[in-house]
Amino acid sequence: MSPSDPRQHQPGALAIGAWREQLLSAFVDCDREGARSVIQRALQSGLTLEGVLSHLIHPAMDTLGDMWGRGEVALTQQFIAACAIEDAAEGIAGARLVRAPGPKVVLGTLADGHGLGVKLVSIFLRAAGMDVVDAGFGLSPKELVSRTLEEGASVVGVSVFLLRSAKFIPELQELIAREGGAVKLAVGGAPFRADPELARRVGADAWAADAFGAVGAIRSLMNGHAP
Amino acid sequence: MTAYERVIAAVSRKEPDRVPVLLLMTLQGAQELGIPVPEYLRDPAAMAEGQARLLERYGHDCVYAFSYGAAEAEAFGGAATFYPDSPPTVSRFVVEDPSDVTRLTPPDPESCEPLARSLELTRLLSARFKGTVPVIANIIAPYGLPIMLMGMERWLRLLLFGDAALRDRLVEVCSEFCVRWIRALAAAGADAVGYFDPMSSTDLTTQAQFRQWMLPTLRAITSRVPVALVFATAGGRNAHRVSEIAGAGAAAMVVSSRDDLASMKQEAQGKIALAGNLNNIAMAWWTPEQAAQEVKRCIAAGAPGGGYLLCDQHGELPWDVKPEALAAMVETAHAYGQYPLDSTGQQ
Repeated sequence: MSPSDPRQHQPGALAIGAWREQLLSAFVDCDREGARSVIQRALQSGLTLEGVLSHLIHPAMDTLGDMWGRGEVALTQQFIAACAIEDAAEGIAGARLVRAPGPKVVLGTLADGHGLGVKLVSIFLRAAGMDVVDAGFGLSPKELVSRTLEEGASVVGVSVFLLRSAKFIPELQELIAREGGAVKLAVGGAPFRADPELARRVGADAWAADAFGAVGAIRSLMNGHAP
Repeated sequence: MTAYERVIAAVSRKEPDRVPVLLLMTLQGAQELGIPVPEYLRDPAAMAEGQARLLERYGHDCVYAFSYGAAEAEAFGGAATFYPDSPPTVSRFVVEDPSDVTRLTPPDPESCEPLARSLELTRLLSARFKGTVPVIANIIAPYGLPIMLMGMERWLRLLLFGDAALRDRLVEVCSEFCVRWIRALAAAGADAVGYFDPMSSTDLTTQAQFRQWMLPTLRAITSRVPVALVFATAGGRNAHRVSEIAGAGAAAMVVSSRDDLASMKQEAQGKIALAGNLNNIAMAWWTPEQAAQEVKRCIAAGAPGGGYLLCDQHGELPWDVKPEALAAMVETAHAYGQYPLDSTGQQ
């Protein structure tokens, strides 16, 4: 019988609660093997991949997100959480996270090639059920807008590492405006984290300090209200 | 007091005659001389002349013997991309696969061009300013350098769940290089060396990771080098680690613009000098009035009791910062940073 066989007995709330706590501890302790083992046990006990996502990963990520809001989450912990999500979706269950049919977001790095931030955002957005297209690294404003229009996305998320790259954002926003302005622009990366005013200065619709913040900011834009 | 005496007093956690101002400028020297940035950053004589002219123009309290961080990646065999208006970044990593770590050896700073240029810059500045204006150099710490050698994602994978033997070897090679590099800069005349350790920021690592990896490495390195180290995280937050960083032997530490300078000052009292807190990104848009306001805020929070040096949080000013804003920073520090400060930290 496969781990996700519907005939198998579904685990109870008590077991799920315990796994959730263990998964959160593994994220906090940066213990990838621990996270992998909790997810594996849950799958072997009959929880489906969707169940792992909705009952374990999403609540653990929500708690981590609350901790992040209090400035208590480091990049290494976000990285481990992202690896656990990848493991759950691809390694262990042998399936990719299914693209949701809802509004689409295109992600890319503008001008520079520092890609870890975008990768984490992409994983977290997918885990939150969003339809994400990775447009790549070192893109020009024109390339990013073309891809966004081609995909019919409602939000474009841009990451930059250098302040000089952030200076290309007004051009990107102008290209978006020329196409009717329906696409919303979210930005992130080191210069925005250092200067919270920078997003406004370059004309972005929303910004986030890191991958956790990006999920909330992009969700707000998709729902049509300012974050 | 000379600028040198002023900085020494502040790093010794005493009150100098006034708060020292460190304008940590690299690209501005190219603007000053009208030389393209890529050319300037490869020419030690031009960089030394640029520092001298900047000192003359602004009257701050240091010269900066730093060209660009990616030079360390070039020294290991990587490549850098140069920009007309920004510091260079690494464009080719020397470690593409973790197994490449076995082939890495610490480069000799004197015999590899990118670092030899920085050593020459340090010698030129030391010959001109030794004993009157402090010569400040920079290095990247052993847990930060792998980001430039293999990229952040590969480094996190190796650090957090990769082959421990390869990870330890990489840190060992970087540590050995770091010690050689600091010793070479000190021998060339650097009075203080910025120890750039972004991985030590609470933004990047947990307290347990900091204590397991970066802190013992800092302690080991401070015990092996003959020069004061200024601990910096390139803008990352590091409140609540002040006492441990002081205990590991750093002479001073740079405070992020996102950390509360006043509360860090309380923790630092009697243990370590503080520097920084000016926002190096927002600064690109500051008017002279905004610059003056920020300087007053930093002096009020960080300067009481001495042991504070005014500078940006990152260790490098942006290309776009206006000369009038820089001049306003120095003027304001001169006007409001005279000791003894009044009860509000201002005169």
